[in-house]
Formats: sequence, structure tokens, C-alpha cells
Amino acid sequence: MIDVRDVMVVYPGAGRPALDGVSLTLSPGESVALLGANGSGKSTLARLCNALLLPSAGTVSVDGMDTRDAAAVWDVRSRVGFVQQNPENQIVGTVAEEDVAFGPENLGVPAGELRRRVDDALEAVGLAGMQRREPHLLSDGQKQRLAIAGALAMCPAYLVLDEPTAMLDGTGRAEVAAVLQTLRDEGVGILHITHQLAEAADADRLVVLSEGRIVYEGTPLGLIGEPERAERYGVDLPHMAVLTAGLRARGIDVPALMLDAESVVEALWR
Amino acid sequence: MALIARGLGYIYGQGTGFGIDALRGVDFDLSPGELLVIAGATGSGKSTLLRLLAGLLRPSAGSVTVDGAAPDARSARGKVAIVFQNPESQFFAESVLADVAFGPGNLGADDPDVVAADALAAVGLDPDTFGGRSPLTLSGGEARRAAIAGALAMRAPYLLLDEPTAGLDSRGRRDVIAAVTAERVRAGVAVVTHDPDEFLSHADHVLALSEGAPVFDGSVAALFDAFREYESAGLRLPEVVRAQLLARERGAHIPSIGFEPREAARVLMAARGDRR
Repeated sequence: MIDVRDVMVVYPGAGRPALDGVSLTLSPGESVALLGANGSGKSTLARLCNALLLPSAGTVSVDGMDTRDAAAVWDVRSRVGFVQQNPENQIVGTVAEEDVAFGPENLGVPAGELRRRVDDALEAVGLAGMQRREPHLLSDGQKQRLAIAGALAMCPAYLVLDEPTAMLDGTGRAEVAAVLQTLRDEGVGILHITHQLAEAADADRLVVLSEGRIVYEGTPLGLIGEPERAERYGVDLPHMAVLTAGLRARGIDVPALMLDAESVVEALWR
Repeated sequence: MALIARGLGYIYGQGTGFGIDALRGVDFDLSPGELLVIAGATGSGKSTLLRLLAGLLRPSAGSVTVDGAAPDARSARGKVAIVFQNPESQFFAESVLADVAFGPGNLGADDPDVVAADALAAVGLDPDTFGGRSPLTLSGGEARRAAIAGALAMRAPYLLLDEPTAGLDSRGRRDVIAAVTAERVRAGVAVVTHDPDEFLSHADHVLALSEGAPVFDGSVAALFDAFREYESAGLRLPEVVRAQLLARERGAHIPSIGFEPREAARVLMAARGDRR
């Protein structure tokens, strides 16, 4: 389990702490969506999870290892994979398989095992058969999936993704969402940072940060039911959820999570 | 006076035998005071079009003119300002004000700092609060707006923006959209995006691209009438707008489409009542 306990992070020269009294757990096979406005502390919290950043106060532990323990840091990082927003910033190989192999190869994983890991990782993100493809010829959605494969080749127990779909179009977003869903079902713990509630609708748990503090923890549906609150925290509600809330307020019986126009029109004119 | 494209096309690697036909047959006029939204999925040719308009690529077919001149002609210098994707990765100065003032300074403005302060104010960043700060200390939304201010400070009559709201939260997007649409007072503005939803209510004109060719070209009202055709090209209107268009298809009387979801709920309820 990733266990973030009562953590405070203060950046030098900053007025208020980036995180203040934040606690969060992530278990294998669980998916947690982390939402909040720009500057709410989401990325800071993500960086704590694999010791890219250490807390000013409080503790972060990964499967019992304290991230401040310098001897454990490589172990921590091999358990917690990290994927950033811009795939261009995290691709290093000249062909897809080299990029995926970069991490485990550096750790001295033997050739046979390396081959298996690379192929498995590419398969898991739906890029099987693209081993020799040059990354710059991939679409943005494929690039981001390649970056995820690079993290998977380290066989992580947890995957932390910092707005992995922000640069992608609708198709790319759907591709990445499907991969994350599969990984969770296979037992990987997923911490998905986003500011779109629509993307978090499938998560087991929703955590919202505002100005460095956790202001909501619960189900996605719970927050959809409180649009004013979501707006105050800088969380984007799906517009259709706001529309259906408007219809419900006028006595029309439509489900709160009816997100496509066809079903809504069907319900109104049935 | 306009930024004009006629029969515009571009082939990457033309004549090599491995040419990729990225864009063809694009026509439009952009005049100061107008907002043009160029929509299309990834790979539709949007960014190629933007580079052609800015004079960074030379067309393989057709032409671009800026107030009658080629974009790389001397008389067109400083007339087209462009904001690329993730412009905040291009900050280089030590303070926000110095970064924004760099462009006008290069163009020989009398007082670049005053121009820069105006541009910062136009994007909703108070120059006194933000001007002296390092660009590296800005939040995502602030950084994007500061980068856009860098383009506004050029005071060009045409402003082109590539995915200006990508990666921003709702507050950041709202601020950027307000800043961009306000620029129409002075300039013709073209926004290139795969996510045109939030710009549609402000658009005078929509050009939709699919695989390098225009699939729709016209006003927003015309777009609503042709939405099935637009969707058959793999593009999709905002779901709240679609709900009203689908209701209209069923014969509901909907005189004007609401963009905002609460308004859309009102419109749909009113249309339903009418039918009874």
C-alpha cells in the first residue's frame, strides 16, 4: 500500500504550504482519481509517492518503506511507476521497444526476461506489433500509451499518472482510459490525476484537493450531486451532468449519470 | 484587409517519393474583429495549416496572403502573432514582464514595458503583482496566460493560437477564453483546437478539417443545421448542444440553441412543454 500520512510540503519562498495535513492511501487493484484546480497540490502529491519529492513533515511509505530512507529509494521507485502529462517529455528511445526497455535494461534485467517484459508491456497498452515503430510516427494517444508501457516494464505495483490525457484528443483519452481500467483489474494500484470529473467517473474513489488540503473524499457520483461544490474546487463537472441535474430539478426523472444526448432526449420525449 | 487562404495545401517531403499529403483545398478569409475556430482531430492537418498561415511553411498548393502580401514578405512582418502549443515552455526571461516585453522590444516599440504591462492586464494578470515574478513560479493557468500576453504584446492584426486551453482547469480555461475572445476588438483571431466546445459560442466562423481536407466551413448556425455531416467526419459537437439538435430533429420547436448546460435544460423543458 502507498500510505501518505499527515503530510506537509512547503516550497522555499512560497506563501502557503503546497500540501497541508494530507493523508491518502492507495492499495493494489484500486483506482483513485485525484482532482483539483491548477495549483491545488495534485502534482506535488504525485511526486511524493515515488520519492521524487520528500515531505517537509509527515510520512510517505510504499509497502512499508519510508520514502525518506535513502537506502530504499530505488526499491520505492521500482514499485511506483510515474507517467507525466506530456508524452514528448518522457520518450527516450529511437524505436518503441528500446524506449520501453530503457528502465529495466538499466537495472540489468537479463535479455530473455527483458524481451518478455517489453512485449508484455506493449501488449498491455495495445501497441503489440509496433515494437520497431519510431515514436515520432505515433499518434499522441499512442505516444502516451508508449510512455505507460515504459512504466509497466518496471513491473510496478502502483502507477501514478499526472494528467496523462491533458494533451490528448477524445480518441486518445478513450484509449488511455481503457488501458488504465485493464491494469486496475489486473491488480495494479492506479492514482490518476485529472481535473475532469468525466474521466474520474470509473474510479473506485475520488479525492479532491483545494489549496493543499483534501476537501472531498468519496464516490464520483457523490460530487456530481453537488455541482456548486465541485465548481468551487475548480473541478470540471461533465456538462451533461449539470444538464440532467437541471432536468431533475424540474421534475424529470433522468439518472444523474446519463451523459449522452440520445438517452436524455429519449427520456424527455418518451 | 484580411488574412486569406485560397486552395491551400501542403505535402510533407514533396518530391521524395515518401510525401505525406497533410492538407488540401483550404479556403477562408479572416478579418480583424472575427473569431475563426479551426476544429479537427489529431492528425487532421490543423497544425500544418497554422504553420502555413504564419509563413513557417511554404504552401505546396494555393496561397496565403496577409493584407495582400505573402506571409514571409517584409510588409507582412509583425502582422501575424502565433501562440504554439504549450507556449509556457518557451519562457526564457527572468521576470514575467521582461518575457512579455521581449517581442515588442524587438519590433522597436517605444516603451516595451508599457506595452507588456497592457498585455498582461488584458489576460487578467495584474502587472504589479505578476510582472516582477519569475515565469517559473506561475501556476499552469497563469503561465499559459502570460505566454499569450507575449503574443498580444506584438499588437499584430492577426492572432493565431494552437490549442490555447489544453491542460488547463476550468478556471484557467475560462480566463484564457475571455482573454482570447476579447482580442477581437483589435485583431482577427483564429483558434486551432481538437476541443472546440468552449469556443463555439464565441465563434463567427467554423472550419472543420478531417484528414487534411475541409468537411465543414460556415457559421455556427449553419454548423448546427449540418451537424450530422460534421459528425460523419468523426467530429462531435458538445453533448448539451447535440441534445437540443436531436430534439429539433424530432420536431421540437427550438428557436435558439443554449450552450451553457443550465440554459440547455431550460430550452429542452420549454420545447417539451410546447409540444404538449
